[in-house]
Amino acid sequence: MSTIAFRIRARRRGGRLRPAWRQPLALAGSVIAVGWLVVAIFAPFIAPHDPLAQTFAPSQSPSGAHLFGTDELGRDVLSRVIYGSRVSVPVALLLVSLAALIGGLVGGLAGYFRGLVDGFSMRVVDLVFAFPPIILAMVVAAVLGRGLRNAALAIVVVAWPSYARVVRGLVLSVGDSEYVESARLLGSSARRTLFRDVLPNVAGPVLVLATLDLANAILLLSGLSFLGLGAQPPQAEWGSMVADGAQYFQWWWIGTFPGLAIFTAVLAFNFLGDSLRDLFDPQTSWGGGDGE
Amino acid sequence: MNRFRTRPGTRAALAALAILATAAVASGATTGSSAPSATLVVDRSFEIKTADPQRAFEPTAAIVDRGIYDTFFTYKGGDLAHPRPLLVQSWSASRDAKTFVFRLRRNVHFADGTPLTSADAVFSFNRLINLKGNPSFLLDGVTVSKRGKYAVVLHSKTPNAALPSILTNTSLGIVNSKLVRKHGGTSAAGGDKNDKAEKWLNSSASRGAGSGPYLLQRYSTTSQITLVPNPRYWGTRKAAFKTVVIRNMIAPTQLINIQRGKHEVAIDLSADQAQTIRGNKRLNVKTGPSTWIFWLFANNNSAISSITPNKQFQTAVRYALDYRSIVSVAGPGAIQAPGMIPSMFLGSLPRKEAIKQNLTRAKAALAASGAGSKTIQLEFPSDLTINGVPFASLAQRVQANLQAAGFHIELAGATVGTWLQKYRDGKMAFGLSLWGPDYPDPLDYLAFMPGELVGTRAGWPAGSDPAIEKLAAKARITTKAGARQTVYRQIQRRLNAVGPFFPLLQPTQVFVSTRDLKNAVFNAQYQVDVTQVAPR
Repeated sequence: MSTIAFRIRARRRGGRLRPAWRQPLALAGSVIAVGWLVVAIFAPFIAPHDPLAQTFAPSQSPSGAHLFGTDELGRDVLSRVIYGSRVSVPVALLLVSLAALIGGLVGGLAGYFRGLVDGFSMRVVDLVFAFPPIILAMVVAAVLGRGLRNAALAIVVVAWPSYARVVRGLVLSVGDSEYVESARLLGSSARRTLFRDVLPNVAGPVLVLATLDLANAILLLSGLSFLGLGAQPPQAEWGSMVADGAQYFQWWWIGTFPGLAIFTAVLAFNFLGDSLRDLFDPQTSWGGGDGE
Repeated sequence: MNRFRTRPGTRAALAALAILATAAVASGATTGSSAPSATLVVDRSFEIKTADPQRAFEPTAAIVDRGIYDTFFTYKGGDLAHPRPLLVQSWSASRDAKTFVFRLRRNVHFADGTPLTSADAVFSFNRLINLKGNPSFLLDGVTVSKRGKYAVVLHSKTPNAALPSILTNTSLGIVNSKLVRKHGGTSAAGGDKNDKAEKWLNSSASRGAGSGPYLLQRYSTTSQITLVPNPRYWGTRKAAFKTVVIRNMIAPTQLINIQRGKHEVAIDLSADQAQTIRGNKRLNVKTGPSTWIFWLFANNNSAISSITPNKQFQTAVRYALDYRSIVSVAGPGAIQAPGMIPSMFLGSLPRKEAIKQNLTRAKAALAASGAGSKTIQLEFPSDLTINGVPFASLAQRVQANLQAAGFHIELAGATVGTWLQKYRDGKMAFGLSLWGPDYPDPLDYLAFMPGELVGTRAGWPAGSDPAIEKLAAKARITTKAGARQTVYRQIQRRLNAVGPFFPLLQPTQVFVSTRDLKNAVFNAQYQVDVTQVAPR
């Protein structure tokens, strides 16, 4: 008995969590993601200049005075990239949480109640899935009007169905398990069963999906801003900065650095999501289940 | 059978002869025939709304319509001072410059073979007038009639010495009246409601509508417009290209394309971009002053805004702008616009008379206006780049200038189409806009007067400023160059003092063409005259 307990404890400490996070990609992802979060939080202290101040000579190439150069209006590109993180990272976090909440709720209800609720909500999901996300987001953003808030709403509209689909599937499988059935036979309410017995079992996969979706959300938000449907000038936002840079190819630094910011942030959240997936995957050696 | 049998040696000789004969025929076909084989590519940042000549008014439409429709007069190369007869054989004007008689060439026919007569010209001009569209003002106060089959009489209420220049405009291109009528067109009063020919004119089915050397093959206001030769063109200068492709490209893409292009023209590069390709031996890079004027306006209509009609607010805007920093957005070669008339036209204001920033005066006026704490939206076409100047950059610079003086400005970018519609409907309170001349004469700039085309858009109806309107009336009937210069300068000084317009800058016109083209020059009227360009 004590030997078994010891082995389980050992797996939890050294054999389950740590190896997953010891993977180089997971480490790199975590470091970059945390780095961007820190930059976003402390932007006013890190940025060397006001991101909106048009006070410097325009179109200066990167130098000691301006590490990322200045843009066509004489704004410091580094400061704008730093402040850009204050838009992309928090908005992406917020809208992914919102999408996960809406999708999770719809999927949970569909999986739990099944029948008509399931049929109706899954047809709505199918409808949204029928359109390529960027096209649908563009349509929604164009209808609602230009602006960051509407772009974020547009992304929520295209992002929630994946959560609904995943949660529904998980709830369906968990709902058939004996412990849920016995809980219901013992008189647990639907809400209690959903939140106490089902939710903990679906949280992991949803977390993985959300982390991977953060990368998509940053990319989609930047894409909408690039097309002029998201953040509006003069706000510093990575996508719109890349669009600015595209107007001035001869001054490569205007578009390259915000492009690199998007690249690193997206890559970091992808690495993180992958690592989380491995962590929750019973098939991997550091995942749960029979891996060892 | 034996008669046709030949020995192997003879067969070889015959085969060699046949090959030589074929080669000779083929080479004769190449050198002897004038069938064009090259494709001309014109890269342009689109702002086109229609290709219907009597409705169209945008520069991109002028490129297209110059190829499809002929006008009474035209220009050669980049010259804008001397209108040259195209459809007109000869013409005469009355001494008071009110009545003009134009006698047409008798050998002109449309692409479907129908002869072009005075009836088509009268139909086209009356259609322009009655459509009440953007170019309709070109014939304001002009009545059109025909005298016989090949003479057209234009009678203007007021002296109109600029008429031959006006008649170079592609909006006055002559359409095939029979065909256009057949497809829903009308020249009668009420055309603005009853004319249904626009869709047809914007399609490849409209072959035969024009008499120009090219025909419309493909039309899209967002991607590209394609022209093909008119095989029945009446003139001696036939279409020189198999295809003319006018593509919608932003300036940076134009910069990349032109460097690897063949028979290609780029119209919208900025002065900064031109600097980067100056040494390229495959390209002709030409720069000169642009005829565009970029300006800001504050709507005078109190129904549109409670803030912008305030004269103190307008004064505050006028003196808050740091014109030097605004001009710098347009790169080397750009100049501040002292008035609405471009520097190369008669009547333009000397540069020393340009408004200078005066922050103290601006702040005092803003405080007096009571608008200091209110947020005002500055509207602009976010996807429009003209002469390499993106309106998005210009808007941000204007915003920064105004905010430095205490204004609260929010930028509201929109697509060109949305922005243009709102501006033209006169519903824009505070916006950035631009004006390119319809014909190279200061008369064109009377559109900014109260009650005129642009004045109305800025909520400035007739009767708003009798002093400036009196000057405008005088300008219309003044014919001597010296007197015209004086009166147009007076108008602009008054406009700068009380008008709702704030002239900002005159950008640099860059025109780049590949060296395998001849006659490729910039023309402010047609951008590039596709009928004159030819492969080398």
